[in-house]
Amino acid sequence: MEPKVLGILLSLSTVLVLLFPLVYGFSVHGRDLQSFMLPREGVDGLDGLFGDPGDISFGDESFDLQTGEIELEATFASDLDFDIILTKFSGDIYYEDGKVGWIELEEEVVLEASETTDFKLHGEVDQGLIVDAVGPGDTVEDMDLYFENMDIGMEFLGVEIMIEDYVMEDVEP
Amino acid sequence: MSSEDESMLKMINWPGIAAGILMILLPFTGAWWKVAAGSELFSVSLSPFHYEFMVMGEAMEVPVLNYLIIALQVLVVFGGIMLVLGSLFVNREESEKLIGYGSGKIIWPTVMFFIILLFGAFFVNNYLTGFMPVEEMEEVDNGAEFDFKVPYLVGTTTSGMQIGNMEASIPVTKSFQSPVLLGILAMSLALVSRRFHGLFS
Repeated sequence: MEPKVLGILLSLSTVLVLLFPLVYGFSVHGRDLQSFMLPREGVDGLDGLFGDPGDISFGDESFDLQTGEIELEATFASDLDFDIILTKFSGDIYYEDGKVGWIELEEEVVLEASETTDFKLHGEVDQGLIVDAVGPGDTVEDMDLYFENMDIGMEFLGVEIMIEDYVMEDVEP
Repeated sequence: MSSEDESMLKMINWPGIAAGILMILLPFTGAWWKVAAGSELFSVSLSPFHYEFMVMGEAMEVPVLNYLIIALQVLVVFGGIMLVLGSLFVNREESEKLIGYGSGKIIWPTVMFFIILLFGAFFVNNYLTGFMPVEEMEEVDNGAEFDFKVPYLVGTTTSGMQIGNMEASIPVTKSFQSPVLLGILAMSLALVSRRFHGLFS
């Protein structure tokens, strides 16, 4: 075979080999350029990673007005396969007009995550959990909660995240 | 071994044979290079004939890349076969074309692969920050800042971002995987085979 002809055939074969799978794949994907070009799996889980404040739920609470100790477990809802739990924090209760005005939490608050070993969470709440108008006999359901001045550090899949002076409002037990 | 056999063996482009065989094997050897952010947050494994995107442990596929990779795999195997044929029959007039064509199918993808890696790192280090929606985030308290730094080919750096009161530090690690040695060896042998062919003519 003439080298020149062979060169042309080889060049043509290159073009065909490159184009055929692309054209075939494009037709298989309904000739929809967007579905052909964009990633199609695995990114949905990033939405709602930490949930919204409204997604927080509480459980296993103890709230002792006599001793001034509070123990709460709060769970951040997440679209991933784990929840973040703030657990067992305690502090001093301050009263206003015979009712609980607000609670100052201890400096170190242990924050834990469930169902994963990849998530490490540590935090500090230096002003605390604000509780409005709770009187003796009231339960945690009666509290109007919000957190303020929270410094939260997290390590998630090797990424370190630090949130300073975080305010979490409208927490509904 | 007769003198006729010896002269036949001398009339074979051995570097071309070796490069051709490696080219046929290369699509099945996996990634050449990997970049990972965090431990499992995000990783990309690449070679000219393989890709794998992982986001938080979940594989992510891009259809166009799947088909492009198939095309490149077929092309390198076909190029390897042509290189072997050209190297076996060096006294045929088609030999030079076959060796030139076949060797090009490993030389150019390998060179382009490294250029794309370097360009990608250059883009991230110098221009990616400009594409972040910093202006839209100016309403956020304390604004937003991004500091992207990645190694050019191998190594570990830490990129940072600050949005309002949140700061994140993301370690980014780039590393070569062992199959890259086969790729570089195949490319080197392919280059040698071109020079070697000149000796026969």
